[in-house]
Amino acid sequence: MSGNLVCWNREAVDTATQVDVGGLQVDDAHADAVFAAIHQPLPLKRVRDVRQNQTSPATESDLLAEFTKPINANEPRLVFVTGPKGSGKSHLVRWLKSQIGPRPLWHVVYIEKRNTNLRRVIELILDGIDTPRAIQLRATLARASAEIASDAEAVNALLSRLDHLIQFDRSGALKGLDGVPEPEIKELRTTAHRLLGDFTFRQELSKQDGPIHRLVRLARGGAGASETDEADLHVTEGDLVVEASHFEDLGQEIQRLVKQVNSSRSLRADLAALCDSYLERAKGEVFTGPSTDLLEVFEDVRKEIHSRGKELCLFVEDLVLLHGIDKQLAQALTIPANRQLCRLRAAIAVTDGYLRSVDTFADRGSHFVIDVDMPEIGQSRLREFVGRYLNVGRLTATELAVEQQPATTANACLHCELRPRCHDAFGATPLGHGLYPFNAHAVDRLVELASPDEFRPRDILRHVIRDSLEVAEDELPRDGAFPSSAFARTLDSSRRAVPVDVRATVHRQNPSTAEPEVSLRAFYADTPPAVDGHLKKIAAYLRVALSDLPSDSGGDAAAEISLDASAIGPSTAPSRQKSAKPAVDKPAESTKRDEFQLWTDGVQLPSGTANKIRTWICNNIVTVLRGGEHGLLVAKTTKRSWRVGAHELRLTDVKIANAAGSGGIASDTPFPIAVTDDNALMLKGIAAASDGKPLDEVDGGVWYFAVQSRIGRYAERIAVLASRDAEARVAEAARALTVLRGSAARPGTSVVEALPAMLDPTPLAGANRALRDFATDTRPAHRICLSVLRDHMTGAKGAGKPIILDIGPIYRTIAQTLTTTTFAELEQKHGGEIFAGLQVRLARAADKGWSEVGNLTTDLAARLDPREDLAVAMSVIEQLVDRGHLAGKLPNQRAKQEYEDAASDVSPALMAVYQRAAAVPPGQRGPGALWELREDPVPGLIKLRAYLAAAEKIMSGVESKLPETHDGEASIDTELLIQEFKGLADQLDALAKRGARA
Amino acid sequence: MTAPALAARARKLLDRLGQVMEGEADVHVRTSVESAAGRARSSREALSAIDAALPRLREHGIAPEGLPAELIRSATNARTALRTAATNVASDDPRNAARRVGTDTVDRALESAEKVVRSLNDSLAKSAERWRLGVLPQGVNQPVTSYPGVSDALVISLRRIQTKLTARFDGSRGAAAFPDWVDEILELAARWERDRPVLEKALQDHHPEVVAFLRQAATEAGASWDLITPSVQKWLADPGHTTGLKVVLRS
Repeated sequence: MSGNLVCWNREAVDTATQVDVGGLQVDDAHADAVFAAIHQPLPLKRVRDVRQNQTSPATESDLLAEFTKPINANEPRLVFVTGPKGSGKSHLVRWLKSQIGPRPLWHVVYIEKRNTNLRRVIELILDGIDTPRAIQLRATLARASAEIASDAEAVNALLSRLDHLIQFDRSGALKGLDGVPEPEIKELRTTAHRLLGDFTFRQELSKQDGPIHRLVRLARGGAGASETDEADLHVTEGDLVVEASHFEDLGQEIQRLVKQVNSSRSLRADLAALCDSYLERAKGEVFTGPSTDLLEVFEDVRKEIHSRGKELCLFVEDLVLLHGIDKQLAQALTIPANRQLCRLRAAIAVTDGYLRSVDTFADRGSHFVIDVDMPEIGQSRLREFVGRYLNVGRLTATELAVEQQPATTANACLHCELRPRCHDAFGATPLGHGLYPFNAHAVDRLVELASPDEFRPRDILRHVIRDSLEVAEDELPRDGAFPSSAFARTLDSSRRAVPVDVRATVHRQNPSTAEPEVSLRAFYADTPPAVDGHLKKIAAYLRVALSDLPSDSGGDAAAEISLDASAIGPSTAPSRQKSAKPAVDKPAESTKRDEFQLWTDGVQLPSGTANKIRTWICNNIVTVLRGGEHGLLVAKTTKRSWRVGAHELRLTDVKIANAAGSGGIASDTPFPIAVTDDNALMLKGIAAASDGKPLDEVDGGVWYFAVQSRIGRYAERIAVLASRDAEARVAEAARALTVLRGSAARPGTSVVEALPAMLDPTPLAGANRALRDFATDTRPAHRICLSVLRDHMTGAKGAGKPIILDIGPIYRTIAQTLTTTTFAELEQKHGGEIFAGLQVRLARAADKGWSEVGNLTTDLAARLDPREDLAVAMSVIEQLVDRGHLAGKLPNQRAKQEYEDAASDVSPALMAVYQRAAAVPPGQRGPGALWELREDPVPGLIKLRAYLAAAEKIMSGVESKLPETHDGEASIDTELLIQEFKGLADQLDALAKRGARA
Repeated sequence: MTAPALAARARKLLDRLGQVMEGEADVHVRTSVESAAGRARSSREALSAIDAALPRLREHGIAPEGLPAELIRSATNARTALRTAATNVASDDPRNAARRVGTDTVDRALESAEKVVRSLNDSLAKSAERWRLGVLPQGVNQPVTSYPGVSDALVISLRRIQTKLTARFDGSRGAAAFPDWVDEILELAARWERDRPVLEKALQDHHPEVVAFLRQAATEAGASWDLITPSVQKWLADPGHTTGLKVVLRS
């Protein structure tokens, strides 16, 4: 027969391994049968003191007895099943329900996680109750439901309700905002209302997968139960981070507010707390209708049940999911029975943290916690846990249903003809469930990897059982294919238990089934990576060849050990039952993982080792380049680089994947080393060789031949690059230097004059800032150009010191470039990659430099014609100042002094500076004009501007004080004066006469 | 854009400045001449107005006292100085007029004339005030009280007359206004004599104790509590009497 049996059914496995029990419908015969088959009793703890968190060991029987014992008092019996998320709380509630047996006097209500929404919860509670109030409630629920036809509508309704409550409720103290003063809460309300009232902000919150959509989906029961996290039921500060760019078209106020919210985590936290404090109420009002009062519902229901002579039994798979009515439900469940209200018992699964948030509720019942401590659960239970799922996967629906009677599940292996050999190789659990296609070690190791610290059944189901069986289902039908590198890839992709050299050796010795062999050694071996007797049986069963490695000695002895069902049970592996880390074996000391092994596991190679390797490789490359075949001149330029003709070899060209020390520098000519087992051995060998160890210290020296071959190929490539376009590069460098000399104080107009400037184009201190920056900015490029010339000259003439005659080969090139002012001209004529970068810098510098000079020149041009004789103008203005001062016609008393101060800074010679700057019109202030700024005109132009401003002030002031039109000669009416004088004299005469008469 | 030549602009301004400075000197001359003529005119007109008013004022015994001797002397000198100045201005270049009228002699002459005017006006005002006090009706200083049943128009008219009769002559109106003021005072005094008794008649129909109470209540001191006799209480009990009354508490 070819291939191995796939003895399970994918659909059955998928059904059984749904990561949450909520996926199995309650009261469905098949789902119940699956549930019974997979249920694995786990240790519990009973909480004696909730506040002190004191516990004592308990069993599922204790839980069942506590829940089902008769109620002799009026107090409701509340049993809480608590524990971390994903520990199986809902599973236990489901199990409890399955164990209560026929209870004719109990009115049982089971609230599942599955497809639960707020409306459905109330409907479940009302199921079978037809009192007038119940009928009215159903109508209210139907109405509330009908009013909301889609998630989008619900989102809108919920946001509106939240906004309304935040705006109009006046509570000063809010949950989550304890200690926040009332005025601040008022301010928060205003801010929240402004945001929630904004269309764009609401759109942001309402987007698909946004916070409100998430809340609505959960409230409407549209989310998979297992995906639910308690945090998903609340508004968090992270939910309020919105895309600011979406608000750009809106008013400044909302933009400022959004910016504030995005930048302040504490503000978001406060706003989220404010929204969250109203969320439950808003949800209740939107999804169940504002008039629905769960307390009244419960009262009616309990009255009705009491009238039927029954008691109410409630199972809640997850209280958290009932957010919106959970607080009311908690209140309702604490109301004692009386002459009208029936007695009540409830089993409720809930996370610890959430329970503490519901005041006083937690104190009223018994608490059972699933013990997720791995040693407490023990290896045997964990294997049984996996075995049960494997068994359910092998059973048909019919077998599962039939065999459910009376209380046990059928064992699919019992009727399998392959069982003896299969169980002999792979083993079985004490319950007789075969572990195929795992063995006990594989189960232990994968469980340890999937659930390392505490019992996390969801991760075990997902990663150990479902993922592995999918791989197995694909590979088992082909001999020697399973377990490939895909097996347990999500848990340990590099199969760390097998050292890299072993892996490499396996690949060399066993090319046909190397991957399965590595997987078997990593996961199935007694002591990885050594082959033992058990492993040999499994390999033989799976038709996987095994390499013969020195580390495998003793394997035959292990083969003698029996591997029947009992052999892997508790009696043969007592040491693992209580060990803190039960499953994964540590590698043997001899194969302890070194940094290269860790590198293959995804750990970054440290910079020290990486650079040691890079240096070794570069040195070898240089040796090859200097050697006979290439015979190139190679000069070490820095500690980390070598000049090879026109090419620069850098240490960082050796690109070791996931290694530190390269500084993230990109390379045009990389020497790539990917993360592979072979490369790990190669690096290990190089590191050893660097330390002076023999080449065959690692992997028998095989690595050396591989790396030398690669170095040879790389060196060949570098040799081509080194000689390619060498002459072109020299000409390019000479031309670039010729243009760059423009920065120097005296760039010269002949080759002889130009050479010093080419060597050192440092501008004068008085040059324009943009020009100086350009010179600094292009210094590296200048240095490179000089290096190119030097290397070329040195290479061309051999040894010896540089002399003036060395310039000979590039004399003509320099001479032709003397009048060139931009790199663009060079690029256009000759091409060359260096020019584009320099041209960009030149253009930028010219823009920057001429921007200020241009502004000043334009400003001055409006006041002063460049052709003006400034000396004459200053002389006339000085006269004006003097006469205006005497006539009191200057604008103010300080004007004369101010003018004289400004004039003292200016000399007619400044006009030459101004004229030079003005002679370059805006259209000609391109990159080449940067060189005009060798002598910075800015300070002189600023002084001239200040003088003109002072002169303007004087002239405007004088102008404003002179009348627009001159009245001409004043006409003086002396006739009138004479007449008035005489008239008055006459009057005085008359008075004197009267006085004389009197 | 080519800027206007800086030197040309400065030179133009310099020229304009020179012209303006010359023009301003002319204005100064004209202003001085006009100012002196104005002062002379003002004093002449005031003296003329006093001359015109005196005949009518004298009919009522209003007349200025004689001028102090020193003032008469300076007025005599002033008249000579003014005539001399007028003669000199007439015979000189108009531009020199400023210099001539700006001399201390002319300034003192004009000042003497102004002092004469002020002295005559003051003297007339004092004489007029003495006359006003002599013609004031009796009881014109008593408050005009609106008793119940009295016409508001009468009360307002009497208060206006009272205000005008008790006010001094406003000297700023000048001597020309004196005669009309005298006539107005006489006319108002006659109206007061005619209308004031009408106000008193309104009280005659009331009980004497009510009259005494109302008279006292109308004073600044107010009526004391003992004036509220049974008769007064009875009068006060009639809403028709007390509609417009208010009680003010004073310590």
